[in-house]
Amino acid sequence: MGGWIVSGLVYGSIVALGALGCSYVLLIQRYFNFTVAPWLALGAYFAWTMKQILPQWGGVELVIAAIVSMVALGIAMTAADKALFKPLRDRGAPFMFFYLTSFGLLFAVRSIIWLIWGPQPKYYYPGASVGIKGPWGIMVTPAELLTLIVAVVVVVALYFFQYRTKLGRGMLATAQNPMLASVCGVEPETVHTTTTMIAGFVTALAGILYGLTIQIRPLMGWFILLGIFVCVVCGGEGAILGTLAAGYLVGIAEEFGSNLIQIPLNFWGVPVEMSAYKVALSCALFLVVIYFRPQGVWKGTFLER
Amino acid sequence: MGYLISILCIGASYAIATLGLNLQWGYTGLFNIGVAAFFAVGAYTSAILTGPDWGGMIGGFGLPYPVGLAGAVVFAALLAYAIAFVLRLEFGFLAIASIMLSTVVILIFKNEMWLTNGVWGIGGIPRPFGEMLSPATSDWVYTAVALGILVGVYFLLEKGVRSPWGRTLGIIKEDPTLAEMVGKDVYKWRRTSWIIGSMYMGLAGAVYGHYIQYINPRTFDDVMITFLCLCMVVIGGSGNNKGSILGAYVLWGTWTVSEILTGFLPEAWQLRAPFVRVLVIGIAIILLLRFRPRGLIGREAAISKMGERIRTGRVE
Repeated sequence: MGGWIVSGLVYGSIVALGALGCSYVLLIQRYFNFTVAPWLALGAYFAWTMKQILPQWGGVELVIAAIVSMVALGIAMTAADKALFKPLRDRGAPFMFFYLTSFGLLFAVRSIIWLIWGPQPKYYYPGASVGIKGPWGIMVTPAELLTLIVAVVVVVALYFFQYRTKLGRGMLATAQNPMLASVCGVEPETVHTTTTMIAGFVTALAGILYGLTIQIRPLMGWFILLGIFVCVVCGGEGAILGTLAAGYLVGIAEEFGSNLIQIPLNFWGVPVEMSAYKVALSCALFLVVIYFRPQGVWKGTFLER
Repeated sequence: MGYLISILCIGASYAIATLGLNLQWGYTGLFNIGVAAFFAVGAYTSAILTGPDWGGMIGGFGLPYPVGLAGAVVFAALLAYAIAFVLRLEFGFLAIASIMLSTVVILIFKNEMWLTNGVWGIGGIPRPFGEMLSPATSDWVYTAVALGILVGVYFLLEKGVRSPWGRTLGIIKEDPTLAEMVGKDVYKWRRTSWIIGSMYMGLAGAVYGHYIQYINPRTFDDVMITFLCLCMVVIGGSGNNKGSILGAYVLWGTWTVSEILTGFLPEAWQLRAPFVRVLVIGIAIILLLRFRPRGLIGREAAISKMGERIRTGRVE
């Protein structure tokens, strides 16, 4: 029982980090960024390549590789935004064009990853790691513990950036009313650049943590993409704490929910293997949420931020 | 010769799916990226209804070909109806709901052995008049059948979009608020268009399955169906049925010819060729949206005053 919840929380942390990037883009640029799936994989591969180059320093090399990869992905996402989406914004193109461009970019980046790194799965540290035993059947590996801590730290840092700094407040203002914000002295281009840079940082981090806890493979972002979208919709766009909570919700729904539903299925002898349908559970969660609360689960209640 | 039949026949099924997507996207403004779900449901329904008894799984109905097509259309429509309530919400939710639908449907087809034989797939799907003809003649006969279906549904859709029904959809795409003000229930109109477009995709899946005669869940991955269909609509020009058919044949022709050409390359390059192909098409669609959003033919001037502005390229 406890083990299912912990694995749900770990998966939820990764989903929440990926969703933060998607959520920022939705808040400022008003479209669901499908490209987050291959970007996530690209961030993980950047860090893997960087780690291969660096010598072994007992874990420090991974930190350096992660920071380099985060900056690189931030630059890559900003460049893509400036080259592809800025002309569309300037032209005032319909929403569909943003969606379709990001969908095209998804396949382009995915095949670039395939061409460079090949289809075989890769690991930062090959071999099984030893878990730390806790009460109630809880078993966490160091990587999972790291994931839980990093997600909370990043969310708190982003929270302070968003609500306590001038640039963060400028972003909120731009999200509400771009015209008024630019009249009040918020540079729209600075806001867009910041948005994509932050999105790049957290997306790369999500990819690295996913690679650390599970494995790195070209389609890793694709499997997590649906969870990310559920998380964005549940959390409410741009609500940072809400996104983290929604990530935990998605993770627990997938890991805990699939195991929980398996028990009565086994009892009645229904031949369905629920572990294959984890994604279906988060899709069901999505449908329930948008049917009853399309504005997000927490928005306007106790976690308005 | 085999390649020509393959281009004509599979191109016809892609063209039917593209017509459905064009109705949803080009005429009504619904962004469907779950084409693979409807396509797969159509193909599997028709295969199970018309197929022989495989043993160990559902089947053995052996119904005639038209019944298989009708079943494919009905099941695709039911699937579309199941998530139609998402149309009440804003634009992006439909995209997400449809991509989820396609993932879940493929997941079910992959895991439920009793229904679809899992990853091993279904083989020996019969063709119309398949038993009484030689394989080569059967190919030609089936091509004629597929092209006939394509022409039939094309004229049906042309008739539809030129009627008051189609013009209402045009208003809903351009300006939902205006449509609501003149008394149209936007949700109901969108739902009709969504379901009819999905029926086209189900039909396309059935046509495809009977040509290929062997289907498995990998046949319906997102690259092959959803992405190609979207590209076909964009290449031909959204909101133009002739453009959809042209786009389908141009893209599928290019795809097949490039497959033939990569056959001559050394083996190390052959493994990479599919990814290069997807990369090229992905970049092409981005550039097309950037520099020529109207596509090859572009949209027809349907609504009188908009006509001039569309021709000069100010409205997309």
